[in-house]
Amino acid sequence: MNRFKISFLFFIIIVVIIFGFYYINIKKELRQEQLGFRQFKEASSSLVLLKNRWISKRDDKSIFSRVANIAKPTKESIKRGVKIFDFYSISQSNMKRVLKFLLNSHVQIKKISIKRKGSKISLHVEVKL
Amino acid sequence: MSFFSSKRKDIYFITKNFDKKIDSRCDIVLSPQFYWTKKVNLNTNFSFEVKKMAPSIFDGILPKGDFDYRVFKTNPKEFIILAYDIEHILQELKLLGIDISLVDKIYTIQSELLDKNISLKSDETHGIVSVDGIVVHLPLRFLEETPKNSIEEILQDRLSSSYIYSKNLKEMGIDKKESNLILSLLILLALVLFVHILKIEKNRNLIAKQKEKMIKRYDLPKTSFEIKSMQAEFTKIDKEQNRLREALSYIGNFTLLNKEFFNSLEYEKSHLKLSVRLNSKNRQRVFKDFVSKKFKIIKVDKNGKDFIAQVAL
Repeated sequence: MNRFKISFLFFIIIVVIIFGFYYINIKKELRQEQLGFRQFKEASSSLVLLKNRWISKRDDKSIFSRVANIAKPTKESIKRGVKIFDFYSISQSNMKRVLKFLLNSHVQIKKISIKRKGSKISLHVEVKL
Repeated sequence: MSFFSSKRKDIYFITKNFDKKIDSRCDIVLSPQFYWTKKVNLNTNFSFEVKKMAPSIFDGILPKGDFDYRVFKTNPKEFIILAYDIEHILQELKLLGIDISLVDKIYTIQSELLDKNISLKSDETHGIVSVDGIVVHLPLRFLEETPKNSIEEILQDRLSSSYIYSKNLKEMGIDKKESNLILSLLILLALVLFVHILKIEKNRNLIAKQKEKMIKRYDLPKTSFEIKSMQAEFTKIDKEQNRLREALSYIGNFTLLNKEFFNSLEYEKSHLKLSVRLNSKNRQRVFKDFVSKKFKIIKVDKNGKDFIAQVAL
């Protein structure tokens, strides 16, 4: 064997060793990344479902206009990302319809207050925007 | 024939008339009698290309044997080529009585005196002369002037790294065919590893791209930690909102008798406060049992016929 061949042989051995170590290392990393990605996918799919239910697919404007169509609120306001409906005098059937509609649509209800004084019913609902 | 020693190892200049006894480890430098030399001008600047052409350059000159070639570039497009048969050289050294096991490395005088324009005495009758870059071994009587310096003085300096034989390499027991096979296998292994590395890198990129795509499409945070924390938050909201809907639906199912009604209902922060006008204590107990079947009653108040309960959802 001539010197050039010996040098080349050693060079190739070093290359193989470096490639070998690098291969083992990135294979480990790939496994971790695959596992991480699987967990990411599982977590994100569950998050996407929840987000879709409570945020994304909701059309606030149409929900609120439909509430107003069922019964005209005495007072409507927005405070710190919360929509407030105040009905000072509402019939029992309308109150039930408003509540039923809000509960069936996926809005986050922060507060409900129903008070009855004689034949008068007042309803206060806070919905997160 | 010359004999001289360095501090570490003896170095012998070997001619075909060598008759010294070697009894310790040494390096040897061969006279031009042991190999063939040729100077060529070729239209290339690379020694490896010249090496490929060497067998055809020496075609018809060399005897039968397994020849190796060593190429030295002396000027641009000018090369000196050595042709040698190491097995034949070893045989000849044995015939000269040299114990090969004591020889660590074999050099050629051509490679050692490559850049030197010299005229040296090798012994009493012969000399070494560089003729147009090629080192030749001649009787002293052929020279115009007898050289003043002997070859020992020149070879006192360290030898070059251009040896043609190394005992260490020989002891590794790797011959030409085996070395080619090992080289081929190693190159193949390196290639296979390289291809696998490329594949893995491709997979990693693919995963990163898929992740990026998902993040963009669903407007997700970038880390699993953030996702888990958001997920926990939304799970809590989901649980609370479902519980509220369940509670209102359940309580709405309670059958109220004549003159019975809900005074008030308040919901805030997972707590429900109910005030119900009920006809009797028994009815109050029935209502309490009905609520406590499904929910935890935190506080109960009674104000005449009004039954007030605070429920945790």
